[in-house]
Amino acid sequence: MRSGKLVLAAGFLVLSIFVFILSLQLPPTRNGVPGPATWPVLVSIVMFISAISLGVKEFFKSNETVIKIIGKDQIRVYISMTALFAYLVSMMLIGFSVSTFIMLYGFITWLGNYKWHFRVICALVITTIVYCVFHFVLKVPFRFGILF
Amino acid sequence: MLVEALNLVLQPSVLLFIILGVAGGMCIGCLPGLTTTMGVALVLPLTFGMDATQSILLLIGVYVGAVYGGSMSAILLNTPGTPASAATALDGYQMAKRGEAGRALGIATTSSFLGGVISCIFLILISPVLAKFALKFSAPEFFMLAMFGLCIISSISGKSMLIGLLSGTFGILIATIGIDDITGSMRFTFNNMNLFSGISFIPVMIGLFAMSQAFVGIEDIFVKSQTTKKLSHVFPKREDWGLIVKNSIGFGSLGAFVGSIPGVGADIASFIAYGQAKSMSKHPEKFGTGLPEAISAPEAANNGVTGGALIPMLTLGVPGDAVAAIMIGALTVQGLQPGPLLFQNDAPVVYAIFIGLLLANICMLVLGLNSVRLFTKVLSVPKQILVPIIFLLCFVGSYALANNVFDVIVMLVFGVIGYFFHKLEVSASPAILGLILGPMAESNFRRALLMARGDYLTFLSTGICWTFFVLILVSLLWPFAQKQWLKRKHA
Amino acid sequence: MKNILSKLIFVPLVVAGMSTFVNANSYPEGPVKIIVPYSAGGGSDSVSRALAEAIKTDFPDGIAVENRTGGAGSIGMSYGMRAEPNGSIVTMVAPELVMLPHSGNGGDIDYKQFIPLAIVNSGYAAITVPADSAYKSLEDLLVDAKSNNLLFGNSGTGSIWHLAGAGMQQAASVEFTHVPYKGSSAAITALLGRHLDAVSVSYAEVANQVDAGALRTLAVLAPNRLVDAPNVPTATELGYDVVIGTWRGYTVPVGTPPATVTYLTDAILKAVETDTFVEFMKNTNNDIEIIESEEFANKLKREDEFYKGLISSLGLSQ
Repeated sequence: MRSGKLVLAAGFLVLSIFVFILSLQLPPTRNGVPGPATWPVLVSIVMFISAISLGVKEFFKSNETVIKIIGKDQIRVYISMTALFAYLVSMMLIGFSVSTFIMLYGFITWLGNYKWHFRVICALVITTIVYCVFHFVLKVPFRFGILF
Repeated sequence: MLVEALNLVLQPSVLLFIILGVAGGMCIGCLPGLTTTMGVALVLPLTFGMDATQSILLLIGVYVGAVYGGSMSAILLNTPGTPASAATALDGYQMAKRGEAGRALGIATTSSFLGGVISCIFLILISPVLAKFALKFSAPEFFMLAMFGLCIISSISGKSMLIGLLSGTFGILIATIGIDDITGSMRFTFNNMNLFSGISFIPVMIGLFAMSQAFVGIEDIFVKSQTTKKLSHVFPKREDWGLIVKNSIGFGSLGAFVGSIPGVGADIASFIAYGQAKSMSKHPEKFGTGLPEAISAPEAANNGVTGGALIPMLTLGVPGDAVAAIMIGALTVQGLQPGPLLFQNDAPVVYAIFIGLLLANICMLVLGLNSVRLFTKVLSVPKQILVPIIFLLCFVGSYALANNVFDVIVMLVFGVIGYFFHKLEVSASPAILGLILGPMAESNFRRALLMARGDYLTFLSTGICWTFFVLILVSLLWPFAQKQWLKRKHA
Repeated sequence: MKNILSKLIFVPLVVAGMSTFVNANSYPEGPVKIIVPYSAGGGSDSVSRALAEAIKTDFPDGIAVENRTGGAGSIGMSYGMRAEPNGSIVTMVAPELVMLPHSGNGGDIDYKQFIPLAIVNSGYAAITVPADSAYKSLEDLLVDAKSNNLLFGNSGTGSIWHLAGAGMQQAASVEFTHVPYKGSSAAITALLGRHLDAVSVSYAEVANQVDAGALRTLAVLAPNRLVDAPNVPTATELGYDVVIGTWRGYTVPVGTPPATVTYLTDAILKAVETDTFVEFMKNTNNDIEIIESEEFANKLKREDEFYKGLISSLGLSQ
C-alpha cells in the first residue's frame, strides 16, 4: 500500500506541475481581473502541496499492506478493459447491435459456465431490450459501422 | 380558487400522467447517464398536444421521479443514476453490502418523500419571500456558496484528508478544460474540438463510479457475494423513523432553500446536506460505513430541491435549474407566461402545480416502496451476467447524453482511473464535487472581480457573504473543536 | 457464418451503389434527421422540433430531431457538415457558424461547406434595463456610459449577445464592462436582482419580464421595429447603426443533389406557413422570419465579414 500511495503522490505531483506549466502559456491577468490562468495555477499549487505532504507522510510510514496489482484477478480486469476498448472500436466499425451481442456473449461465456443456448439467448435478449429502449423510446441514434 | 385548481388536477387523465411521469422518471433516474434534465427534455415534445395542467404536471412527475430514482442504483450498485444521488451512494451502498439494501432504500424513499413535501410547503407558503432573497445572490455570494460547498471535501474524503484534497483538486482541474467562461480563451484543449466545451461530468461520473465498480466486480467475480437477506422490512422500522423525520425536515428545508437559488441544483444540495449531517453528527467518524442518517440527509435535500427550483420559475419567471428552464418552455408553448403575472392571470394553474407536486411526491412514495422489492431483484442477478450489463449500460448511457462517441471514450478512461483510485483507496466523491463546484467557484470568483473592478473586498461586501464566510470557518474548524472538546470531556 | 460473410461484402456494395444510383425522384428515401447542435429543451431544439412536426407529411419515412451538443454548437455543425450529402442529414445552423471560426473556437466548421436551405426564425438583441432604472431612453444610458463604467450582462464571452453589446458600444463609441454569464437566463436573473446596469440579450428572452413590468427595453438592434414591441425604437432610428441578432436556418452539406435541395427547401417553406408552426412560434415568443436560400447565402457571407471585424476588434480572435 505504501508504494502504491507513493506512486499516487508522484502521479498527482507530475499532473500539478504539468498543469502549472501549461497555465503559464495562457493569457495574463488584466485590470485586476484574474485571467484564465489564475484558477488552475491556484488549484495546481494546492494539489502540489497535498501530493508532497502525502508523499512525505507515506514515506515515513512503516506498515506495509500489500495491494494486489498483478494477481490473477487483476489480470482479468485488465483483459476486460482491453476488451471494452476493442468493443468500442468494433462498435464504430461494424455496428452497435452486432458488437454488443458479441461483447455480451463473450463476457458471459468467459466469466460464467452456462450452457451455450442460454448464453446466446441471454446476450440476444439483453441486446434487443437495450437497443429497443434506447433507440425507439429514448430516440438515441445508433448509426455506426457497416452492419447494424 | 382552490376548487378550480382541484378541478384541474383531479381528473383521471391528469392523475394518470402524474403516475406515468413519476414511474418514467424513476426508470430514467436509475439509469446512469440519463439525467433528470434529459428525462424532462425527452418528455417535453409529448406535452405539446396536451393542455397546460396535464403538460406541466407530467413534467413535474418526471422531475420528482428522476431525482428520487437515482438513489436506487446508487444504493444497490454504488452507481449514482444522477449526480444528485452521488452523495447517497457513499453510505447507501455500504448499507446494502451489509445486506440491508431494503432498509437503505426504505430510508431513501421516505426521506425523499418527506423532503419533497417540505419543499412543497415552502413553495406554497413563502415562495415570494424566498424568491426575493434568492435574487440577492450575485457573483460574490455564489463564489462564497461554492467555497462553502468545497469545504465538504473534508467530510467525504474517506480515510485520508490529503487524498481527498488530491481527488478534489483533480476534479476541479478537469473542469477547467475547455473554453474559459470569462475571457473565452481556450484552456488545455490541445485543439481537440471535443474538448472545447469541456469534459462533461456525467461521463466522468459514470466512469468513476459505475464503470470502476464493474471492474471491481470482474476482479472478485468468483468471490461469493453476500446474499441479500430476505427483505423483511422496506417500510422503515420505528428506530429509524425519528431520525428520518428529523433529517427530512431540516435537510428538506435546506434543499428547498438551495433549490430556490437560480443556478444551484440538487447535486450541490445533496452534497451540502451530507457534509452538514456529518459535522452535526455525534459520531462523524462512522460516516461512510453505512449510516442511516447519511442516506436520509442527501435524499431529503435532493428532493427538497424539486419544490425549491419551482420558486424562482413561478414567482419571477427565471429558471432555478435546467429542468425549470425546460418547464418554462413547456408553459410558454401553452401560451402561459411564467413569472409574476402567472399568479394574476392563471392562478388556478399555479395552484394546480402546487397540488400536483404534492401528489407526485405521494405517488413517488407509493411507487417507490412497492418497487423496492422489484429493484432489489437486481442483486439476485448473477454477477457473471450483471457485470456485462453494467458495462453495456455505461456505454449506452454516456453516449445517449449528447450522442457523441467522445463521451464514451471519456467514460472508459475514467473507468480505468476509477479502478486504480479504488485500489489505492482514493475516494472518487471529492473529484465529482470538484467537477460540480469548481466551475461555479471559478467563474463567479472572476465575474465578481470583474464587476467590482478588481476589488477583493467584494467577497465580504454583503450579509450573505459574511454568513457564508462564518459558515466556512465553522465547518473547517468544527472537527478540531469537536475533537478537543471530546478530549477534555474524557480527560 | 457464411451468411454474415456475404452480408459483410454485400451490404457495403449495396450502400455504395445506392448513393450513386439514387436519383432525385426517389428522395426522401429512408428517415431524415435534423441535427440540432444545442441541447434538448432549449430554444433551437424546440423550434426545430416544431418544424419537424410541421414538415413530417412530406417525409413518409419520418423526420426527427437529433441533438449533438458541445463546443458552443461546433460539434453538431461539424457533424452535419461531414455527413453524407444525400439529404438524409439536415443541419440547423445559427450565427455561431460564422462567429466561432474567428475566435478560434469553431474546430473545422466552415460556412462554405454548407448549402443553405432557408432561415425560419430570427431574434434581435435588445438593450434592456430594470424597470426602476434611471435610464429612460437609450440616450440616457449612453450619455451615462461616457462617464461611468456600466455593467453590461451577456450570455457568454464571444456569444452573439456579447457581440451585440460590443456592437452597441462600438456604434456609440463608449465602453462598457461586459459581464459574461452562462446563458441568457442567468444574465436576466442578475439584472432582475439589480446586479447589472443592462443586458443585451434577445428581446424574446426578456419579453415576459418586460410585459410583467419588471424590465424595460430601451432599444432593439433590429432593422425594423419588432411586431411584439412596436413602441420600442430601433437603434438605427436613434442614430446608431447597429443591427445584430440571431437566426435559425437549415442547411445540407455541399454536394447534395440539386433536386434534393429543392425538395427540402420547398418542404420547409411550406411547413412554416402551417397554423401549428405559426401558433407555436407565437406562443414561444419566437418571430418567424423567412429568408430563402439565395439571400441566406448572402447573409452568411456578409455576417462572416462583419463578425470577423468585430471579434478581432474585441481582441477575442486567436
